[in-house]
Amino acid sequence: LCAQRKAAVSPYAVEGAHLASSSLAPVVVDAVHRIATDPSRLTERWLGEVVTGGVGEGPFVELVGVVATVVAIDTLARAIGADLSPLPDPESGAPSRVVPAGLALHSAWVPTVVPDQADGEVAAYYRDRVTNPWGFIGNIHRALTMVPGEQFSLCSLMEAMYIPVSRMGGADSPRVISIPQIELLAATVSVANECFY
Amino acid sequence: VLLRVSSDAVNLKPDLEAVVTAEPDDGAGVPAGSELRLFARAAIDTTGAGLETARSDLAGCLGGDGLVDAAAVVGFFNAFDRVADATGTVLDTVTHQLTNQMVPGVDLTRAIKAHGT
Repeated sequence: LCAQRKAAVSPYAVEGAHLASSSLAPVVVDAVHRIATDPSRLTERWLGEVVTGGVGEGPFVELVGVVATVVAIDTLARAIGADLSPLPDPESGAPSRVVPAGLALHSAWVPTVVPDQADGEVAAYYRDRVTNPWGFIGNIHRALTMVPGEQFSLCSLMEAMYIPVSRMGGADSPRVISIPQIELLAATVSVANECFY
Repeated sequence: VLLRVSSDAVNLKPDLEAVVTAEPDDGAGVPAGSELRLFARAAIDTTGAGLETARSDLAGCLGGDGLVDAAAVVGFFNAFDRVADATGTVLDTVTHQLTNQMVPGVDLTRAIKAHGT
């Protein structure tokens, strides 16, 4: 189904359901497939249908964070020729359902925390981890702040696999490859993915 | 923008337009750029086409540690792009302006308007 949608002029013209071996709702399974396989053609209208289709904004943001984490780790594994890691067993416990202060629709299709209205751990995250050398916080570093834990996890992934925001634009690479080489890779991937952010 | 700024910091003059428009074997003026770009493109192609050769070429150029560093960056951006696209994150005004100044031939505004159509 993903291949048929990818080949279609509009991915929304191809109807169907994915095979699934979990108890996740079909709308969730479909969203995961679309984000994983054809992200550049996602639309605000699609997101609205997912959210009103029973997922909700907070769970959708969490879903995006989970998919992104798996994509990052799987891509790394494939790139170095390693086997894909099995998914861990789910842990018991209830979601935190924390709703941070300062949420507004201002930088994305989903609500994100406006920096000067943030408090607590989100304010600390903005101040200490993602204020760039030019003094502002990129919208991408706000994208998942509706679910702060997902945003913090994404930032940890970024610091481990790419570079910390404080190093951006500098000459001092924390890696074997130089910062321009790192940015060339980043730009090449984003161009290939047709991601205009 | 970050490629341009980081290149300025080490007196490098990359061909920014080539990153957007040229074939992947064009290194865009960055050391080992051709190997890096070919590896990045192959690593995100889920068919696996060309990946083994690209991996071997990059390792021969930058060593095993360089290969792992490159793979990590590719992995992260393959995910980061999905976060931006799935949440509809708007390009920062400053970044948008700088990009248009640096690569005037690339009409980013038009590209953004076409996004999702």
